[in-house]
This record gives sequence, structure tokens and C-alpha cells, in this order.
Amino acid sequence: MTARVLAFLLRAVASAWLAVTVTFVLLRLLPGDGLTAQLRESGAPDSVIAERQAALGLDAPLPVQYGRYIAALLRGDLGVSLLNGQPVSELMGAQVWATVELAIASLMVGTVLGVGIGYVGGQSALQRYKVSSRAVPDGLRNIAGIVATVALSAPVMWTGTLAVWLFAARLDWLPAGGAGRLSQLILPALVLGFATAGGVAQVTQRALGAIGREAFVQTAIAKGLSEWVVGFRHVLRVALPLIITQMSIQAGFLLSGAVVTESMFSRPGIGRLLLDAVLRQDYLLVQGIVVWMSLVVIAATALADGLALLTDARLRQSML
Amino acid sequence: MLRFGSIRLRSVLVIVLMLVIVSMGQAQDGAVNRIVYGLSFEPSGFDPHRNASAELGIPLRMVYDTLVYRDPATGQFVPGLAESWEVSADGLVYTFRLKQGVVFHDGTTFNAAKVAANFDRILSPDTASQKSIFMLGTYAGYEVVDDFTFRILLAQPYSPLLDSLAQVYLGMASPAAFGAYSVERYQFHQVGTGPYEMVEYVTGDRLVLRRSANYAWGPSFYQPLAQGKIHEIEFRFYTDVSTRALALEAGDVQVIGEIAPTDARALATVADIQLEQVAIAGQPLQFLMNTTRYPTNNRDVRQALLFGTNREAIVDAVFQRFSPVAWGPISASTAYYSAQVVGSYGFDSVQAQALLEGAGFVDADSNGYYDAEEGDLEVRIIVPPWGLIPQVAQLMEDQWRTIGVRAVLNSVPTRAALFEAVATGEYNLVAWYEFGVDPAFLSNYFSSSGAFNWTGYANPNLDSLLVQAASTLDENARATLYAQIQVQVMQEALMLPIRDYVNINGISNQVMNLSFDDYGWFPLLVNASLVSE
Repeated sequence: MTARVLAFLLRAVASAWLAVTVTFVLLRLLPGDGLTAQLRESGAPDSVIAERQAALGLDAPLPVQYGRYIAALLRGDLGVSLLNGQPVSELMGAQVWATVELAIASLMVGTVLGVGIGYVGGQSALQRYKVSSRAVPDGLRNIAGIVATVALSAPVMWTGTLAVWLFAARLDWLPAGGAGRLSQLILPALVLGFATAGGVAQVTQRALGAIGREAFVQTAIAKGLSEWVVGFRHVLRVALPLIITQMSIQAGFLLSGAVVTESMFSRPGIGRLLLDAVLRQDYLLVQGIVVWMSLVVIAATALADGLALLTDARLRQSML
Repeated sequence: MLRFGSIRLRSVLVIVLMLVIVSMGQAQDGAVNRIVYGLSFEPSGFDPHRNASAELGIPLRMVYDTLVYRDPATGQFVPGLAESWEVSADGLVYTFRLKQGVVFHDGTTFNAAKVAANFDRILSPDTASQKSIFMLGTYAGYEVVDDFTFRILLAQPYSPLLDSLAQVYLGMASPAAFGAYSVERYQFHQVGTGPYEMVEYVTGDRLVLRRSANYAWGPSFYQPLAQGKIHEIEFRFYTDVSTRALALEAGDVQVIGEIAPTDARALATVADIQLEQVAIAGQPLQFLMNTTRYPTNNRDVRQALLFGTNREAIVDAVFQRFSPVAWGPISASTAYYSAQVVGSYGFDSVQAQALLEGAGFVDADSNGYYDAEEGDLEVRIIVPPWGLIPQVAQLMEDQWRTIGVRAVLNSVPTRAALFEAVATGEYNLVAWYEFGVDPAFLSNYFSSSGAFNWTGYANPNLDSLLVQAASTLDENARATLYAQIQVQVMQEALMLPIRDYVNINGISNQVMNLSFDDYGWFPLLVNASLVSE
């Protein structure tokens, strides 16, 4: 067990380092930086530009800049934004909660919708394996299939614009954007939750099919247990770890910031901050956000593993 | 079955609850004279002394007063915080008599020492100004003559000085306020003397202004506080262009700028929304032509490209006719604009081909393109991603194919990448524009020593005209000089103008009398009012 935890930590550190290093190198493959471009546009003389670059350490050779950055990172210092001088941690801190709020709401929508669609979609398999006797109408099953496919493949850019057009501009039921009120959270959470639901539905449906034909399920049916008991206690319970793993992965993506959704709904958040930082070539800010994203994804993976252990007795057994 | 029933009941309750919350939220919005104003993006910083974005001026123009203002009706300078000023005969000393009785929003009094403190802040290396410091031109120092007399000293005559002083970047902030915070934190606690006070700035979310009750020292074109005037303004950031028009239609915002031309076409039919097209002074969308690289080193080729470009078709297709066609190096709303250039190089593909053939180009291999020294006649264009420039460049590529010239588009992702691409010198045209009312910026582009002399053109006569125009104080002399400059730039075909920049604003019919200042970007929210429903 200790070895596994150690191995995990090692992997986590290695992935975070890799993410930071790749970002550092890629950003610098692009010519110039946001501050220098801005100063040049404002008519700053070359001498002033050189001074400002030196003050931020941008004049040092790349390996030196890299070394300094990693050293600062190990002290927990993410540096300052090139363009407004504020600490990167402070800029990110101001945006994190908006992202967390949207992530939780989207995950709730995505789970309910995804498990629901997946359950309907998986009914034919359950019926085949006699777990369920109630026939789900073909129409409903087809609709579930179509919705799952659309959720998986439609870009948020499109579903989002459509949702704003319909629910805000035409029907006037909900605000088109903003943050702070519950009503402003509904549309973005629905749009992002819908996108999340596709993956969850797929996993749920497959899991139901796979588990339905397992011997222990068939035994339970043979024992004469009610459909409800078999459906929930035997099938869904066993499918749960798979669904939770899928949700944890989605949570990792959602918490690292929904770039398109946040911009589209005029919401604060880490994703929007990242978009602005990339467009402005504010390197330290981009790097800081990448550190956050990699940590969140690693944490989500750890959480998935942990939850899988908690919910899956077979896995616990194998670990001991 | 009961189980399902109760779930359904619960979900109905939840929906009802949600609707109640939604309607409560909307009721709050309408309570005071309050509007939401959509900005196109969130600037990297909101401190006008430090940051450079035009977007920051949209709210902050109302928070700060400047020493002088440009009257939007006449374009002339009128008193702001300075009630009068005089310029010495040699153009090196500007003496400002300041208004008395002016009070900052924090209760401190405005005087010459406060102006001095603002200059100190702008010039301080700690402030690391990205724009304001560079607007001072040949600035050499200041003198506080007495409590209400302030003097600016210049090393060389610099005629755009008043234009700089009329802009929000050189607005007067309360030294007590900026002294109380670090240079990075002041942007959250800004204090000026303007008609609106800053209430809060929440990064990523909003910036809120509230009408100041005591304001009584505005420029002549600011109307006094009256019934129906807007009390509170919340600025929000709409980075994504696709939802800007929708936010306006949904009633989330009452004013929003930089609407995409295609959306504007659709919005024009919406009953309770007005479209306000505001021309922005400065350079039109233009392609500067490199006179040092083959084949644009040949003036006939440059002129042929001008004749071969159907600007009306571009404005129709890309800008949905929401922009005037541009004819010269400055747009029609810029100071000292000369109409002499209008109509020069109207679309004429026959003339374009005649010029190319006159210059000795032939299409020996009959492949549709003239032959160059090597291969076909080809021009390389640097194409940045903003301002619909890629769409414009694509149309140019198509149009030039018909006159036998191949355009090769070199897309660059950022400003920094554009600067880099220009530095290599391997281009024939580069798309670029900057904004401003005073055309002194032309020196940067068309004088041989200009920092943005991307045309590589060097002509002592044009250099001398540009120097005179930027140093003489006589209005008429400047007008004559800048007219000559505009004509000469076009005669030499140093640039290809496409369209005057127009900001398409969508404004709810509830908002009345919203006009914009001379620079075009900055709304005179002080004069606007709200119709009660």
C-alpha cells in the first residue's frame, strides 16, 4: 500500500513537472512577449524596453529563466503577471471559486443526465439478461442514444450559443450570462453539464450491459430477488466505480477551467483567465494556470482511485 | 408509483423556486437608474497611468477629469481641470491655470501640487507605465508656480501635447488614494474628480461606477446631473463575440460595443435596439507596403495593387457595409484629415494590369500570373488574426489573382509575432492600424527614422513635412502640412487603405442620448439618460 502511494506521488510530481516544462518551452517558441509588444506599440524607446525586460528577468538566457522559475515554483512562488504586476497566485485565487461553482453545478447536471440517459440506453441489455422485465419503448431508447451522441460530439461553442439564443434572447427565461446569482449559473451549468453527460451516459450504458450478464447477477435473478433489488444492489452498485471514475476525470477537466463556456457566458473563472493570458502572451500567468490544471487533474485521478477503492470491494480485496 | 409522483412533485417545486429566484433577480436590476455596459474584453489592468488598453478608458473616462478636453462637436480643446492655458512663443512652456474648488471623490482638494504628484507617478520607474509616459513626447519637466498654476516644460516643440493631456491616460488621480496602495493594487481603489466614482472592480466579473453628487466642474459639453440620468453603471466583460448581440437582445446589457458586422445586420431589425456606428479616429485598416523588397520596391506595382483592390466589395462582404471605404493614411474623423485623397485609386483592374505591363511584366507561360524575376509575380502579406483582417486578406488574394498577382498570406498569431515577422524584412505588405485623433502618429510610420517605418520609405521632403507638422502650433499650418503628407503618401502608394474603423455599438432603446467622444471609443455616459419603463 505504501509503495502504491509513493509511486502515485512520484507520478504526480513527474506529470506536473512535465506539464510546466512543456508549457515553458512551447510559450517561448512563440516570438516575443506581451509586455514588449505593448511597449513597442506605445512608442517606447528600445532602451526602455530593454530595462523593463531586465527588471522581469526576461533578458536572461532561457535555461537560466527556466531554472529560476522552477526554483521559485518549489518555494510556492508562481511569479507576477508580466502585464499588470500582480502576483499570479492572487490573480488565480480571485477566479477559482467561480470555476469551482460552475464545475460542481455542471457535474451535478452531467451525472443526473448522464446516468439517466445511460440507464435508459442500457435497458435493452438488462432486458436481454432478464434483469429487467419492463420493456423500454424503442423510441425512448433511440432518443437516449441520439442525445448521448449529440452530448458527446456537439461543441460547447454551438450548444452554448443555441442555449443563449433560445432561453435568454428568445424566451427570456434566464440571463444570457454573468455570475453571482443562481439564475446566472443555470444556463452555463446546463450547457457544460450536457457536454459532460455524454461520457457518463456511455460508461453507464456499457457497464449495465457488461454487468447484466455476469454470473452473480444471473444467480440473484435465479434466487427470485425483485427487479429493483437486482437492478440497484447488484447491477448499479457494481457499475458505480466505473461511473465514479468517469466523473472524477470530468471533474478534473471542469475544475481546470471551462475556457469557452466561461467566455461565452461572461463569467469569471480560471478558463477565461487562461484565454486572456494566452492571447496577451502573459507567460508567467499561463504557466501558473497550467500548474493549477495539472495539479487538479492529478488530484482528480487520485480521488477516482480512492473512491474506486471505497466503492469496489473486489478492488479492496486485491489490494490487501 | 407514489415514489415517482413525489419526485415529479419535488422537481416542479424546484423549478418554481428557480423561477422565483430568477424573477427576484430581475426585479432588483430595474430598481435604480442603472445600466449594464458590455466591454469587449477585460484589460490586463485598469490603471490609466500604467496600462495601455483603450477598453479601460470606457469606464474610467467618467472617473477622471483631464486638464483639457476635446469638444466632440468642434474637435477644439476646451477647459477641463485647467480653466485656461497659454503656450510660450517658442512652444516649450505650457502654463495651466487650474480650476479652484475641485474636490476628489475622497474629499481631498485638487491643486497644482496634486497635478505634480500625478506627473511624478506617471514618470516613476516603479509605475512602469505602458503608455501614459510615452504620450508626453519631448517632456523635460514641470514647475508648480503657485497653488493653482502648473507649468509643463518641453525640450522641443511638441504639438500633440494638448491631445495627450486630453486623454484619460493622463487623467488626474487623488495622490492620497494612489499613495495608500501599492502600484498594482491602486487599480481596485481608484479615485478621481470625474462625474462618476468607482465603486468596485472585481477581476473577471465587473467594474461598477456610481454617479458623484458633487460634480460641478466638468467641461462645457458635460451636462449637469438631472432627472433620468444614469446613477449606476456596471461594466461586464463579453470576450466571446458570438454572444454579445444575444446578451443585448436578452436584456442582460443595455449597451455593448464591437458587435460583429454580421450580428449587427440581424440586430438592425430588432425593434427595441438601436445601432450606433461610431467612427474611430486614427489609421484605417491598412496594409503598409514595403518599398525595399521586390516587387513592391517598384511604385508601379504598388499602384497596381491599389487599383486592383475592390475596397467596396471588401467592405460589403466582410464589414456588411458598416464602414466607410478608406482612401488615405488617416480616417475621415481624424484631425487634419484631407478629402483630397478621396477617389484616388478607385477599383480599376484594367489600369492595374496596364501599370504592371508598363513596368515590363509579361505572362510568358500563360498561367494567369505575370512572371517575376523568379517564378510568378508574388507578394507576401503579413496577416494578424484581429479585426477581420484574415477575411480581408483572403478577398485581396482573390482580387489580385484576376490582375495576375499572386498573394501569399503569412498568418501571425500575435502582435509580438507580427513585430518579429516585420523585423525579418521578408514581406511586401503588412496589416496594421492604430487609433488617435492627432495624426502626429504618422511620423512613426512614414518618416525615414520612424519606429514603425515598415514601408522602408526614406524621403527627406516627406521627413521635413512630418517634423514641421508635429512641431508647429499653428492650426492652419498643421492642416496644410498634413494635407500635403496625406497626398504624398498616396502618390507614392506607401499603403493600401481598406476601411475606416467603425465601432458598432448596440444600445437598448431605454438608453437615450448616448454619444461618444472625439476619439470614438469613449462614451459620454454623463450625458446619457434612462427612459423609465
